[in-house]
Amino acid sequence: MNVHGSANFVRPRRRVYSRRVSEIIFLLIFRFLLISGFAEPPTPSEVERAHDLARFSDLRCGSCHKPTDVQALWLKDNAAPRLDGLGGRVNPDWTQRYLASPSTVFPGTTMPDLLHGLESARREADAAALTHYLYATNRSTWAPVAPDHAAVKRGERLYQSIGCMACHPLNAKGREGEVAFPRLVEKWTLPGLQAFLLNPLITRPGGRMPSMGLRSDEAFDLAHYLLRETRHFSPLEVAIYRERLRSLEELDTAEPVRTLPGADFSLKVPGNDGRLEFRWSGWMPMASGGSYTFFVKAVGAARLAVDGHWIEDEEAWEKEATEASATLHLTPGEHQVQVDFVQRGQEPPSLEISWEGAGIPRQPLPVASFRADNRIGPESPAVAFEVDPALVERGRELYGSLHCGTCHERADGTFAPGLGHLSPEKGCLSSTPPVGTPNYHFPDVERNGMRRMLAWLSPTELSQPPASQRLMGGLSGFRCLVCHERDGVGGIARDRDAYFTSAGEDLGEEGRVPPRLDGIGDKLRPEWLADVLDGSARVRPYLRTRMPHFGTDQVGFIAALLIELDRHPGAMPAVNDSLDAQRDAGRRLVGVDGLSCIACHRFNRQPAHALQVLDLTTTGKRLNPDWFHRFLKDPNRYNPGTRMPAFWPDGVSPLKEVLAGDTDRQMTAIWGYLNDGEQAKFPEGLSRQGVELVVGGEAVVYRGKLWEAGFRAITVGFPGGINLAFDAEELRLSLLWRGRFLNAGPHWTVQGMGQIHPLGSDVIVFPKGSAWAVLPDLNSAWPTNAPRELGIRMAGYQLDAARQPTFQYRWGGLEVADALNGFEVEGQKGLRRHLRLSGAIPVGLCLRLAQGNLEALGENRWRLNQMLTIQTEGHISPVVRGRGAQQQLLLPISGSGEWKVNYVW
Amino acid sequence: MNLVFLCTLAAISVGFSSSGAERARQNLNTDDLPPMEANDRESEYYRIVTLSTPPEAVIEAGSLLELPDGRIAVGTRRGEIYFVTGLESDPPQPRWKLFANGLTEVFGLAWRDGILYATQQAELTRVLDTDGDGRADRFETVSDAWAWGGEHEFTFGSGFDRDGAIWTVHGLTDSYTSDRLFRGWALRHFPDGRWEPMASGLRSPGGVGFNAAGDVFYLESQGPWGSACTLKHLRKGAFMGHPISNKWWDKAPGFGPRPPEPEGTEESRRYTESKRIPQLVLPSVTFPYKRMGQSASGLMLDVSEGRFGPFAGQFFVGDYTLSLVMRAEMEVVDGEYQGTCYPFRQGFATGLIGGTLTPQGHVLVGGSKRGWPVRGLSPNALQRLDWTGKIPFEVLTTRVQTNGFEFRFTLPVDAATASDVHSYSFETFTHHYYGAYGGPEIEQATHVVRSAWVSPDGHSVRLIVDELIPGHIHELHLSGVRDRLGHPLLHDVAYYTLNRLPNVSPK
Repeated sequence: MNVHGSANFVRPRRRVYSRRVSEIIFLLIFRFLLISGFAEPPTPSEVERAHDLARFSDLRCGSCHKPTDVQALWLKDNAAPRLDGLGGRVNPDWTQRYLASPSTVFPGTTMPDLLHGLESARREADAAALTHYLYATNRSTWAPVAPDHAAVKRGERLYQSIGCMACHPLNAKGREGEVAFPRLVEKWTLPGLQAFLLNPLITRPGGRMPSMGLRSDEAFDLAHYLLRETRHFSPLEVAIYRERLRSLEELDTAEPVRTLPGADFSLKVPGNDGRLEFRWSGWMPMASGGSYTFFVKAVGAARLAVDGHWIEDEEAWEKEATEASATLHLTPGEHQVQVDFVQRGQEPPSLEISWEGAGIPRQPLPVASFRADNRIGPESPAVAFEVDPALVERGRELYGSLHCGTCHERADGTFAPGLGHLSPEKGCLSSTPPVGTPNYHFPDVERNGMRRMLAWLSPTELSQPPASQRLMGGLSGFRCLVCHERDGVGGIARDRDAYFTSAGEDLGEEGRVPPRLDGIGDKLRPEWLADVLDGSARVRPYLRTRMPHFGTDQVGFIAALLIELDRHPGAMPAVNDSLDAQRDAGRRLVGVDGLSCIACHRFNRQPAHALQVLDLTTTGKRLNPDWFHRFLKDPNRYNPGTRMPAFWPDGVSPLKEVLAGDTDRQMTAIWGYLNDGEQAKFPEGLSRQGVELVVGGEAVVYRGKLWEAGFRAITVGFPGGINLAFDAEELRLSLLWRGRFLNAGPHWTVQGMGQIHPLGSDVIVFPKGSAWAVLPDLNSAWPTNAPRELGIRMAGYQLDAARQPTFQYRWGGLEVADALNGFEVEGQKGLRRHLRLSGAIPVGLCLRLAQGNLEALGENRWRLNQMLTIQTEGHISPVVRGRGAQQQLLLPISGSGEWKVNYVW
Repeated sequence: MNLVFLCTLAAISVGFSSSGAERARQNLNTDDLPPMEANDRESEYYRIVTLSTPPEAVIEAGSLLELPDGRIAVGTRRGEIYFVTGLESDPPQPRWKLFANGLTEVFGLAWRDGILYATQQAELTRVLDTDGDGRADRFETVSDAWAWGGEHEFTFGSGFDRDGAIWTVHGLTDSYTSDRLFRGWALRHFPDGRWEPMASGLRSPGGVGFNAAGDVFYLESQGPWGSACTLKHLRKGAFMGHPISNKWWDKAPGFGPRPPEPEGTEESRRYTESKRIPQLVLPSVTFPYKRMGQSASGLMLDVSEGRFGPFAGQFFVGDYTLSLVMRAEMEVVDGEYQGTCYPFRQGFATGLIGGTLTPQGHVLVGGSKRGWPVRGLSPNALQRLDWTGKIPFEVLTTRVQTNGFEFRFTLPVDAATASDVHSYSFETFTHHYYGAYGGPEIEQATHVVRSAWVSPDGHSVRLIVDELIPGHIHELHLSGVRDRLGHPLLHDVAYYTLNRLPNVSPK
């Protein structure tokens, strides 16, 4: 079957039928004008209704005005930002101005003005008092942080690629429907914004600003990007590089890893990671013109440019610094200065930049008078905020009397009438709200719209919203539809389209556009849907946009509604094949001797041959089996434009020799096989190009140098994530760990004997030296001789049907068969060891099972270092000797026989 | 340069690649590899065919062996063993079957009585498929008589010798030390687990095998105590030249007293030291550094009886760094092997590690380029060298005479050019014998060819020269010699390593 040929693939057609977000928003505004007018508008669609009602959630009307149970179903809860910890995040100066007049400082804010109607001095005083109260417990010394231009560049790429731009403005202009920012540089501290971006749900539990799953370095970059207009003065800016640069010229094209403010040309730059590759830049003011001679003296490679005229010092590898100079005629005014330095050789590097001329004897450049950036206006002022206890007290009173806590702490709002009993002409909706009442400064058009919607919400006969309406409320409230399309609604806006990109090659639209939500509740299993909304499930690493995390409390209902609306369980064909027969046939079909699914699909983290699309081992946990069956029959119906070919055209199997060519049996077999997930046995032809050794349905044995297990380590990964290393030189179990197995890269790249560590976690390290000894009595010291000196030697190993090893070794006439198996009982995973001894058993033979802190748990069970439980079965009980962290768990052995040892975390 | 500096460099550059000290400083920079002189004529006679490998795998062949049923066993750097069919069909139709995996750098394969033996870094292992499903499931330790615990301690293994034993050769810990038992030694092992030490003094072997008579040879890398790669004859009790591994001499039963220490001064020469150190074995063939190869790896005996061309019974030798195959042939003079190397075929795709020459007459070579500088551009490759059936005009053999050399050619020569002394030039040189890393060619001398006599059948030429110098490499150029159609030799240079002169007195 030719799956690479393009003839089978249908190019996805442009979604001309779907209405783009901008168009929808235009229509909504139009509608809003309609409903605010006199004419009774036509019955709105669900998306329009959802948008109309969204205003009630945005403005948090329900915090003060408790909705009835039925009303609550039409409205979305939306918690206000938490105000604790404000001092570390937000500039107090901004807070105070904002409180004094929210919609002036942040046009479009959803916070009402609570100090309106007061004379301006009183207003300022109250805003100050509230600010002192809010900052009382965590004082703030807000100061501008110089934008790191390297981080700004990376942050811009993130902003444009991971999805920020889907909701927020693309440029300073902005447009309707975007979530506008306040003036970020005036509001945020850099560390505060970085922390906020890492997990917005902590301070904004409403989930409207979701977590984007940023790493802390990404949050750093993004924060620098968002605060890039911060004005901060320093004489110089120094760029630091992290790639090994060979020449000064490479600095022209290399991307710096950081930029920092600099005060001089010192080679001691904080955070430079030991590398000495720098570029300083700044502007030099010249009061009077004239001829000046500039000198560059360095051990290393260095050069200086004034207005782009380079003076390059020859590279100095040796101890003696070399010097270059040039004389330039400079006019009065500012001149751009740039200095580059790259370390050379082993000698301690040095750099001196100096000048002379027009009455100036030779001296260092007057860097103190430089400016790193000659284009910026006055510096953002630092704010030293001292808390005034008297104002704090006054602020506390105001906070209470203005009912701030009703929104910000979700305090009970019984002081105000319920949403069902509101007069549309009074309070907030009055054209002149009384003093002390929240004032949203509604334009008339919007106020009328609110009144009309309030009237619509009020009737006692208000019916429950249908599920589809509630779903639309969720999808539009959390802006799911700016990325996803469902039932022809939503999808990527035209001006955002170019920003949805793919990290994979050749994956087409499927590789860059977030998946459609049509029928998604029918497709995905409930648990998986919940995980997706929780942000913990990601299966499309090639999509550069990230599925945000809104918080399960906020969006959990969406999963339930999707299932309620979409799910149409279909019958599965009756198939008589046993599960094992299904697994075998499914494995054949998925592999290169079958349909070669692994040509395009990854399998258990192993790369596919061609494309790198969804990992097949996620199939069982993601998909409903009946949907999978229907999908295989007609992929294009469920995912229009997909590159996945129909492998059973007209329901006819191309492979007659598997399960008699029966389509239903084959599809069921594929399901049965893939449903084993990561414990599915690898299909034929699965890539081994990668260097991570992944364990599937069979144990994996790998020999070679491994950390504590030595050069002769035989490392075994068992299905289910239990791993061990056996030292074939010392004939001992040396390591146990859980989770991922190994990365063979250090052996399989470069020369080949790099250090390999266990990839997983909970690593148990057993003591070095012989695990076997003959002790005259149980008080005798454990021998320190190398096992080879004692005569204990490896004989080999045998793999069973699941490819689990039995190690065999000898000590004189004694033969040991040491079988190791992963096991899982009642959810507990561990290792079972089955020792069989035969031949000449010396008197006093002992096996050291463990050494460390041992806690007796009874029934031949011990807890090692509070991590691992070791249990023995057999006719002889182990003994514990020693004390503290050096206790030994010994198994005395007399006569041939069998012993079993279980190791469980 | 002081010794500490050399050691530091050596620690970086040792191993089967044995790149030079100056290379180590460049790390992986391949810029200073000697330029490849285009020799387009080679492909008229020997054609390189690239063999497809399974798309899911990375095949870095470290050892190759043809099994009695015609399948090829391939052992890899990644520790896998494959059985492959269809490698020798035309066009090749390889079908790869993974037999075993999870081993450590399989640099030797042997087969006896239907059982595969694999030389891994830590042990010689019998690899068995007990349930007949085509995948190995039993791994028996045949011998682990040597210790392994250094990052550059590479081990290569042979097939079975005439006594039914497998030879293993063990690189030093680094260029200068033997930190673990039998590093720098050759051992041999019997299937029943018996084993015996055979020779000391190895540095960084790149392969071990047998000549047509069943004698054992290994490839040695240049470095300390050897300024060029060499082919050396292994036998019991021998000292191959690098003295550090003699520390284990007492562990070798029947070896007698430990050899005297080589002096290792600027004045020291291996030939003169061999008079003082009776166990010291001189190289049978020397591959002048860079002019022939830089890191010999992959020893292949032509067992094809003519199916690979006119060189039956001769050795072919791969080179890791230069991605080429050289040719070597020897004679026994005064009881010792000595002989000649010739350029043969360049232009392989990657660094060559493993190779075999099959009875059907194909050279199969493979490897990878990771870790050390390599001229070939592919990260890894498996390639086949096919004889096109056209006989190249080459020096077939070079034999030392009491007063010169006798060349035998693959095709009859043109008597006029071949009997003209100006068609030849003749130089000699030798190397230091000391512990510095690598070393120059020294005591170069240009000699006079006095006369050249063409045999009546036109296949041989006897060259009378002014002087033969034991202990020196005799570099013979035959640039003026033509065949009867007027063609020059495909390769017109021969390097004869002369340790012994033919016995002039009648037996």
